[in-house]
Amino acid sequence: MRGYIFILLCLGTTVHAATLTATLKPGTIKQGDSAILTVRCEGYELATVDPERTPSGMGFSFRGREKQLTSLDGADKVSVTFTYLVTTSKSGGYVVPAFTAKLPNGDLLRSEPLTFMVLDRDGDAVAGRQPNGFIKVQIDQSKVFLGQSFSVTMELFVLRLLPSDLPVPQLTTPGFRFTRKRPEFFRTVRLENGTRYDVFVFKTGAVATKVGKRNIVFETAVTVRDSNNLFGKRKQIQVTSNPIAMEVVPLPAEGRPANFSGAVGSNLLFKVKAGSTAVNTGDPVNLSLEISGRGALDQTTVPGSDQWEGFKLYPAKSNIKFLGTRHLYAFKNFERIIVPLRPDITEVPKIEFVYFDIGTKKYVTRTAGPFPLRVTGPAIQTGIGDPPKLPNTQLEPDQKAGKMEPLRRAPGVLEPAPSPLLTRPWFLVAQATPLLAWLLLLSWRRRQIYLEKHPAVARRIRVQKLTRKTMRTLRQSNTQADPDAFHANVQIILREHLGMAMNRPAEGIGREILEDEALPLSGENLAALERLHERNQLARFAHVQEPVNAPLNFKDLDRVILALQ
Amino acid sequence: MKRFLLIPMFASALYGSDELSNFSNGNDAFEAGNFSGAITNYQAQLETGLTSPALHFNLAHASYEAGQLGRSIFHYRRTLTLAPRDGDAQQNLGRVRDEVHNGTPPKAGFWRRLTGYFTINEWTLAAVTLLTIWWFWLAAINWRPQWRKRGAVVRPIIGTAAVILAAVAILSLRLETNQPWAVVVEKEVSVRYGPVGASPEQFKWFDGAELRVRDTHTANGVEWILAQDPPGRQGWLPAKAVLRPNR
Repeated sequence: MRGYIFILLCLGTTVHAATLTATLKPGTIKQGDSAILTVRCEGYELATVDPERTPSGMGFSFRGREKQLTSLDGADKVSVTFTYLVTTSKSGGYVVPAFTAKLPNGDLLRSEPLTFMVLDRDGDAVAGRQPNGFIKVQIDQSKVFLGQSFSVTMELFVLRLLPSDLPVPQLTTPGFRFTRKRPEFFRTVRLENGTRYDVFVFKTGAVATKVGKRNIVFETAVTVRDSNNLFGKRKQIQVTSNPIAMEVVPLPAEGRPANFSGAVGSNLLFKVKAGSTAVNTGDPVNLSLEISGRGALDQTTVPGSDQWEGFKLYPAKSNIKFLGTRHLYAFKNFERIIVPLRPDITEVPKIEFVYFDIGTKKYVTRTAGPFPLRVTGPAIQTGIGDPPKLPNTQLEPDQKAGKMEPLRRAPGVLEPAPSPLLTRPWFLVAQATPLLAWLLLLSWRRRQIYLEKHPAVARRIRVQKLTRKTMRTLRQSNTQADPDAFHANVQIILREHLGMAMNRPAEGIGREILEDEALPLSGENLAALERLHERNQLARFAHVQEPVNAPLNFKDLDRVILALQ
Repeated sequence: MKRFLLIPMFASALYGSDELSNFSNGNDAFEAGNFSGAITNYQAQLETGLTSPALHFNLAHASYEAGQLGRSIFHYRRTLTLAPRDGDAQQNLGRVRDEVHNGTPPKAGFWRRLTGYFTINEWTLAAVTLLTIWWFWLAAINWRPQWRKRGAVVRPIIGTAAVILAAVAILSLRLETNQPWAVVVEKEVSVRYGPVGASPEQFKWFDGAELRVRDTHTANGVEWILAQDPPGRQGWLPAKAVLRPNR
């Protein structure tokens, strides 16, 4: 037992004396090279150390762990050294975050963050030059309470920034958050060590969210041109601020009311308005609660209990309006619907809002109400015949913001991933149908209009069509077996062609055309026409029953048609 | 005969229960805090070839809880490809991107934002509906010219809208097929000058980096991709370090 106590005492002593120190060599490297980071723990044999955060654009590559034992004045002292290679993706200023390790007694060892510079790949050429960018930060306080907001002014100094790309410097140290993620800024030009920088001044605020001493660091990646040439190559550089020491102290436990929910501010005001003074049981009453003043009110929850005797309470809806560019002052309004369930209720109970006042360093309780309320009607049993669901019963918007939406309970329709319709041949073919219909009808319509304007062409087409059709009939053996029908069809063709050639209607043309002076036929062609008419006369009117000599008729007909064309 | 009728019903019931078991097993594992188990179950469901926005959503959520931010971004993006107006997926994706990019995620390009409100097929159907109406209408007025005056104001509006929608549908398809994307799913990956392991390292990409794939190459059985990030940095990295949507 004594031995056990001795070991515990020894362990306590060794642990108590332990320290964590980080060193980085060299302090300036070229992009693509690595710096060697050593984290040394003296006084305790640590198994691992971890960086406080994972910085963007920076990688740690573990190279080894070395244990050393030294004897000093007869006492053994242990130390462990962890070695890492630090590489970065971009040139610029960087901050290696603090490394931490937890001891068995619960103490947290923490090294200091380290700054270093990464030059371009042509580092030799630019080593003497001013850095392309850096951040200067002004913070109005170095010691704050947990949950307290404070003002932050960030000045981003940068050379040849591409105007379309202006990132907001980010607060990368855990334990702090901005009051506004996209703060307002103005642009100016300043001379710094003989170099003219474009300076972007961001005015915002921050809130302490974790207790402890920390070095607060701001950083961002900016895209710049690598030369003054308008067409210079784009490159990204990392810019950082120097670490600023901040201490966040916990809120005092002494005097803390049980209903304190974490609000911290200065001279906060609290007002409540009840929407009605006389209602029936089951009717909703709107309560409007307003908190205003200096403080980080965005995460303040609705004041008052969630259970009121004789009332049904619905979740509150909130909205917040900020005053000033830094969002350090705000009006936060909660709309809450309460439903009285019993007629013996005579008032809306008083509501308390507790906050920690930064100025007086004490907890302050503000109260509103009670508000008189006359309730009539029968009592409503909770659980049986609850008042109907009211609108606006969702979560508060700022409770919802930043939360991950929960899982889906049902998988929905499970089906193969749809391929784009535009890549499916059947779909494209189907789409061609209305297009083709339009193109066909368009060309048909155009043809109609043309033929209306050119009647001669229309007649020629009609005659050619009729000729083709009649010729097909003439070549049929049953037509050739009937001389009457055969010659009647030959006459149809002749009439149409003679009418077209002489620009007359075809209907009135007969044998007398042979005497017409305008007939554009002569010699053998005229004789062929006369023969055709003669055979027609003999067959149709003299009823001479001779078989049709089709080849002879076709020969004469072809000659006449060719001559007329 | 009745027995024969029962066979397909029974088979479909079994098939349906298998479908749901992977999904509900995933949900059960998630609720029990076993996020890697949830991922395995959801992945098993994906490997059946049947998918849905809810499945990708849950897989993304489980990946986020398991600290696999790149995988989470990939599956939220897949959710939004299938259901682009899913507000929950948009919110969660924004949250994960905030975490990856430290509160300043890169903005999507103008054309992606324009086309991203509907799926490619929704754009396509909207365009072909209007185009079909417009073409049939034009065909009708050629067939019956006396109908030309009816709807003379509406017709060119429909035509213009149809042409614009068709252009957006084609643009949307080109963005998806000509600019394939990928998300880094390894803690960090070295980006090299060439598609071989011996090539010098240019820089590193970290879990959750969203990339545009420009080219692919296979060397010694290892597939490499040439990718570019939003600021324009470009380099080769092994294909196994990223997740890409199936072509």
